[in-house]
Amino acid sequence: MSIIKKKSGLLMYQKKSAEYMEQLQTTPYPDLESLHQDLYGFILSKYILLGDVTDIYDLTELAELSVAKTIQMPKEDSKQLDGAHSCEGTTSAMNKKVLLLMALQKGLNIKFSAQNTADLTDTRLIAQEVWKLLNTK
Amino acid sequence: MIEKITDVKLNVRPVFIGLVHQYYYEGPCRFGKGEELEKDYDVFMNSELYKQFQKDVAENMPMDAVNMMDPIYVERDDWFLTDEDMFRTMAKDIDQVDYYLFSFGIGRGDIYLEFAQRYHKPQGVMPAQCCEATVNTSAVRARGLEAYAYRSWEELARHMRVLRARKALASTRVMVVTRFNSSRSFSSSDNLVDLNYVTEKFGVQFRYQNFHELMDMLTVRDPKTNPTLPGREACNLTEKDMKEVERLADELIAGAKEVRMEREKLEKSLKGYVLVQKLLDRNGCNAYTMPCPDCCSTRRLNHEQLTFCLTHSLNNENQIPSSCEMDINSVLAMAIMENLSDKAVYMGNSNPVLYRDGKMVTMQGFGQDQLAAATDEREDLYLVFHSTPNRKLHGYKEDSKAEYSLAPFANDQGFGATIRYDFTQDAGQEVTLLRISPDAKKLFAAKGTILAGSGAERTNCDQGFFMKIANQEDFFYKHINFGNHLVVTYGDYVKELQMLGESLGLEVVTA
Repeated sequence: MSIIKKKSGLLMYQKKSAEYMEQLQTTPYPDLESLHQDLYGFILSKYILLGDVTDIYDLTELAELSVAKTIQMPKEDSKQLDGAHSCEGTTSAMNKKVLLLMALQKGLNIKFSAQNTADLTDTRLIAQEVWKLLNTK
Repeated sequence: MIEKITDVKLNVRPVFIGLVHQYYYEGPCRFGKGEELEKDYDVFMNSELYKQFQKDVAENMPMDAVNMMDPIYVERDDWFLTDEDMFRTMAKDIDQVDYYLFSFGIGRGDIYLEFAQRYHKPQGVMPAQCCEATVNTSAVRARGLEAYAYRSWEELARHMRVLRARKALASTRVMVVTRFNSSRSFSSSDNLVDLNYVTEKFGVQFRYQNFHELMDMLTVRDPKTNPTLPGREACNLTEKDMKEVERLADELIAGAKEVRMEREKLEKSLKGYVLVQKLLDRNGCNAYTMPCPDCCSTRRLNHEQLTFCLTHSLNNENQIPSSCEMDINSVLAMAIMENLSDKAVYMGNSNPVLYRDGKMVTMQGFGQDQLAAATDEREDLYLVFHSTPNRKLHGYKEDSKAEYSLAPFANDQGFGATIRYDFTQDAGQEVTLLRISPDAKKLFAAKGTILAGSGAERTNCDQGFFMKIANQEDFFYKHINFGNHLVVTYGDYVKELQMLGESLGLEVVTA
């Protein structure tokens, strides 16, 4: 049985993502690698994949895995994760990524440039951008 | 250099129109949860959608047929204002754009419509965009302007090829060799009635080459000494050109299954081909026709011992639409089909195969024996024949394994090289037949299946094929509104021709 089949499972991921965010907010990272390590944990928590995935960095692939896991959930619980989609042609993967960027912006008090967010297709690229923005504050 | 019809590409400009809501709110056209209703969500999501649009375009557009121009991104907000700068951005280099492909959602259809009204360019909505395709295509079309929509990228790709063919037609510049007049020969009274209308309607240009001047240029000599152009430096063949004639003769003979004519006479016909290439280049043309009977009766073809059958075959092999008998209708049909199919086409006299008292009514030597050797079919047959087949009927890029022979046109003197092609080797091949009506207002687009070739072993114009069609009576009584020669293309392109007819404002008659 999937861990997220119960609402308590969801809360666990929310708790883990909050912990990773706190760590990201308070740790003076010496290098990009160590930043990426915690950021990766944050992203996997957001994508409800923490503990399931260790070496997948592509956001689209992570989103697909996340959706696959999500759709096994009971309807009432899955609603809490999946936002309504517009008729613009947005996909779940896009939605998850955009919400992730917004969470990082708010949590770390940084501002992504809309010019390059579409090119941040992988957790390491996001880490590079976050590293750059944190160091130019 | 001759600008080939098949090199024409459609210049496509992708345009993405984003929408950014400025404030948090929800209602009948704005929905989401929490952060999805914040401004940054739209900002980042537009960025994702724009990237996906570019990816879809790169993966799905037929790059052999289109030239993708740099994409353009514009944005409006939920004030729904219409900004002049947005139009200036979208219309950048508009003179180079043949087609605009838009991606947008709700609240931007008015921009799409205004763009059509301002610039009068063909435009379309990318496939599978919720609601916008039907809303805005109908809106633009209702105003007499050109707009398209598609269910899939495959359908869009097919339409790009059709619009490319329309552009190829508009890029066609026909060199018409003339003797008596510039609009028809003494065997083609079914020619286009009004060439000025054709130029206005399709964009085709016509340039004229005097037959006698052309014939004088076949001689290698001081080009200022031609009887028809004394003192003027004409475009005569040179010694270098004669080397090319020899090279072409070597190549044709080496590839032929059988050569039933003298090499010297083959070379005389090849002189005609090489000279026509020079004159096409000199006249800025990329298509060719000449009036066979008008030229024949001068006796100069007999005197110089050539016909232009081989020129037509080789032209079509080299992506230069080229028709017999000053049949301009066929030249234009060839321009369409050679661009659309990437195959060399064939053309021929086209007649129903008729039976009287159980026996086939023989036409120009084509009779029951030739057909019976290949098939027992008797119903719904048509015969297509001319001596201008070629070696690229299966495609310009195909390494043709088709067998051909060389034989003369003239029965008595053995001059006038023709490629002889036994169409029986292509029995079962589906073909598309096309002709433009003399008033240039209709297209005849028909289908057939080759049953058997006939006449490859003979000389003269007597070679072609019998084909099976759906209904001979229906076919014939439609065909008589269009004229004799049908342009034959291997494959089924009727759907494309229906789309082309729609985009050109022509009625398409199918059979």
